[in-house]
Amino acid sequence: MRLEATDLRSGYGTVPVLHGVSLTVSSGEIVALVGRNGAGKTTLVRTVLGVLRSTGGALHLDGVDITRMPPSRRVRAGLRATFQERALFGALTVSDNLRLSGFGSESHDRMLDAFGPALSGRGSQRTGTLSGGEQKMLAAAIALSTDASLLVMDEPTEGLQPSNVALLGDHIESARDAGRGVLLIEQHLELAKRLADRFIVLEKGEIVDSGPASDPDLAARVARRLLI
Amino acid sequence: MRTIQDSRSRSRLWFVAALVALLALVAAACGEDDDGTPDAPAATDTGAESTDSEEAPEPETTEAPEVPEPDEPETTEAPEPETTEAPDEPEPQEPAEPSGEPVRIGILFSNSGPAGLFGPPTSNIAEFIEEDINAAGGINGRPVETYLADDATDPAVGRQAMEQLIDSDNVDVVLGTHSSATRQAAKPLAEDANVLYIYAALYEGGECSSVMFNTGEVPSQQLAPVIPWMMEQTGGQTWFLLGNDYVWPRRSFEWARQYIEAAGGEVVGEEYVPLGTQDFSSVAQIIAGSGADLIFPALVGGDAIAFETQAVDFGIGQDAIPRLANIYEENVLGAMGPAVTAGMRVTLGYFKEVDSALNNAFVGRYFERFGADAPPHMTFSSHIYDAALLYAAAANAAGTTDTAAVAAAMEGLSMTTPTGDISITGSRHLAQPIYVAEIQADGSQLIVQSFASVEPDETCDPA
Amino acid sequence: MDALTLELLNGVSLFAILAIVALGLGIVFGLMGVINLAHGEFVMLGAYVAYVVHTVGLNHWLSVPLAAVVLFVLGVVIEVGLIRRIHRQPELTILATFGLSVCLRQIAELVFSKDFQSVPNPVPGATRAFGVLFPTYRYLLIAIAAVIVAATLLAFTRSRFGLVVRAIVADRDLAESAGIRTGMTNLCAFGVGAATAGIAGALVAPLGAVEPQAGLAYLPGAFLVVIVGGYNRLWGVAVGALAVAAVQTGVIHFYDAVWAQIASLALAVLVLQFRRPTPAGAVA
Repeated sequence: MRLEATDLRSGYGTVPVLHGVSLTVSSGEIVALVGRNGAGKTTLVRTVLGVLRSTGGALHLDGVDITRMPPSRRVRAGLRATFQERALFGALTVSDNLRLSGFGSESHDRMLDAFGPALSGRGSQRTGTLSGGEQKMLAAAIALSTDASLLVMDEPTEGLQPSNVALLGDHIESARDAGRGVLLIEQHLELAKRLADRFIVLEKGEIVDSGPASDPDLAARVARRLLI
Repeated sequence: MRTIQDSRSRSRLWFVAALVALLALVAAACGEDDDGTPDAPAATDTGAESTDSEEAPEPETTEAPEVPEPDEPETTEAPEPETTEAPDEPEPQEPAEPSGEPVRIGILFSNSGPAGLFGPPTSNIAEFIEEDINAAGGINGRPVETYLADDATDPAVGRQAMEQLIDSDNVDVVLGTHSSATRQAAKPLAEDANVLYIYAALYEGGECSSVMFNTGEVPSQQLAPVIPWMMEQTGGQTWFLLGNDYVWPRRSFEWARQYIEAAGGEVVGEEYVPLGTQDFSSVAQIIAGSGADLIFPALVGGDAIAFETQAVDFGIGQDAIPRLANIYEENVLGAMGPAVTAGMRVTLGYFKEVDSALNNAFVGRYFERFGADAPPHMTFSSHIYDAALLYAAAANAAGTTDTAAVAAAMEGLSMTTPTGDISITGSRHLAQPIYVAEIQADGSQLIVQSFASVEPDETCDPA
Repeated sequence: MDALTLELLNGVSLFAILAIVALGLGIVFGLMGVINLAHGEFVMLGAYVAYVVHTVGLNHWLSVPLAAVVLFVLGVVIEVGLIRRIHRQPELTILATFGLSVCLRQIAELVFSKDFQSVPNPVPGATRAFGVLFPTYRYLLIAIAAVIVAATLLAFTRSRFGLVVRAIVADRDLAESAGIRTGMTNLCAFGVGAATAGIAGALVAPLGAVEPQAGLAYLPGAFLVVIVGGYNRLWGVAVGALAVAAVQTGVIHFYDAVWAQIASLALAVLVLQFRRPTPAGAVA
């Protein structure tokens, strides 16, 4: 499975945000997308999933043009994303959120247990009453538990306790090891370094740098760009 | 419905107003390009505000090919037809063919909206108006043309329609059959333009204006002779009055109460329901508990149908408590069905069953022309026809279409029409026959009683 | 005592009529946030289905499922052709559904004429129960309306379909992102809303006039019920119908029908004072 964005452009109203982004994510790799606030990371996630319409360029999933597909069809084609904000239906129970993503009730407890004490046994609780970190964990858990072959995760660890960050990192790694592709938007540079196979740096809606994570120069450049 | 639907329409003003605003859009959306047949729907009819001039005359041109081209020189040579004769009375000698600039007769009516149901008979009758007046020599030797305008059962639209008739169609007279609300909205325009306005719909009474005559039935005519008759026929003494909540039922009940008490009877209940009421269960219980011998329902349209059909199941149908109705007409009665209506009595100024040679010929011609299943000729269309004949006779007598002169000639004018013997009273209303029809087991209307030349209890001195 | 029993039965039958008429609007307006001014015309068309069934000599009760099918299909066509294109623009929705309502009235007029028609009561007369005589048809209407309203409420609260509808109302993008085909769900919900309106029309047809304008009388009542009952929760339709029926019946009993209408409008105004002002869908 391979996600390919070619000269992707989008924005809000008449304000362009992405000025032609090209990237690929393949099966069995984790690509970390980093950039400062306002660089266009969230816009990229929304455009890739299709809740924001692209204004130019193309998106292909395994060679199939998905540029004009509604999000639900992209999901059915194997793409899945978690949003940074409003990632869950707060007024519904945890179980209902799971049901909406296609999980039968019999699998709920097992799924929640797999993500540690934060979620374990919370199935009947109203999602809006979970803490911010717990909700983040739940959104990531849902995406990781689906059979989607390509995951786009927007800041999944933001607001998580360190122990949960590590746990989530393990799950993302095993997803990669199971042959899934992950586009990870991550502010935690340490975690990104630990997980990513490749780095892409986004600045003002354009890719300004990229390379393999093993390249020590790149790691230094990334750190500098994010600090300045 | 006239007076009737106006409050209904008032309560729905919002809808109807928006209807007009959206008309073009809707017509386009429906892809409905109607050809302007007499019962053309609202889209075309309301369009009549701007296009009625082509709509109305259209059918007539084929019927009256003798309408002359409007070059005038011959006007002077046209011999004057005898002026005071009603044009419909056959003349011994063939009247001269009218010629010259046509006299324009505007007809303001409801052809869409809640009262739109009563539009088709009126637009049919407009054909006869042109034909018959022209066949009798026209007005002062000139042919007549009719111009129809639809008020969409909405006073605001009605005012625009009146404006169209007066300003664009340049009519010499407006004949109206529509709600009182439309009359109130349109009247000032007729007054300002000094155009004669003959309101021919049954209404609550009380209208008085220097440009107006009101030839429809008023409650005093429908009720004064009929209430004592009804009590005598049925032996009933106590009445329940049930009406829609607006001026016409309320006025009717004021008169009814007076005549009931004068006849030694008693009103044991008086209830009003909002227009558009669909559930009459609680009202039925109140009526059942009142012990009334007779019910006088002044309900209109769908409300009447809902009440009567529901009343049967609550045990207060016509078979249990006889009705005297003053607005139930053929269409509404037909929808109720004979199982509900058999035995009801209805008091009105005209039924198509009126048994006179004149009326039988007229009704025969109507159904021959418009088909056996045409919307039946009824009191509203009959009164419009009479109003046109009255106008023609008065204008012929005056020798002019000048409003003041024709108005002066109208007063005291008498004639015989399919309706019966009618005459304009000093109060600018119409002394006319009142008929009581009883609904038969097969749903037909049988006239069981008639009262000749019933005078309206109205006063009017517009000077 | 008997008078009280009768009045209670009157209230219950009014409740049933209001609930079944408002149910479709509760789905389309209350849940989906589509201000559907053509709802009354859906009811009117359902009544015409009953009229046609009567005219061709079939059993009246057949018209109930038939009206549901006919109006479902019509609802689907309208959703695809009109509603989905303007779903998120309340002003356009108001204009478009208003135009649609006029269109449907015109079509009814062209097909059936302006004349008043009626559907004869399939079970005329009254039944004695609770010590009083009460029209048989109303007993049946109460029962059928109760079953249909309850089934619809259950379908929208207990089933996955209901969950999906609520999710779409809460956040359409998020629902799409979870893989839910929101277009298909909206289509079904609108179709079901139209279908229940059709059922309502077929059920009330024997109680009054069948005519092209009949829908105008149903629309305000249906909105009243949905507003009083509250948006975003379909059982609000039942609550609203109950409240309006209680106020109407009570006020008619002690005062008259005109005050009853004023009182139920006042109730709606009062409720609005204490309620978040718009259905979620309308501002989504």
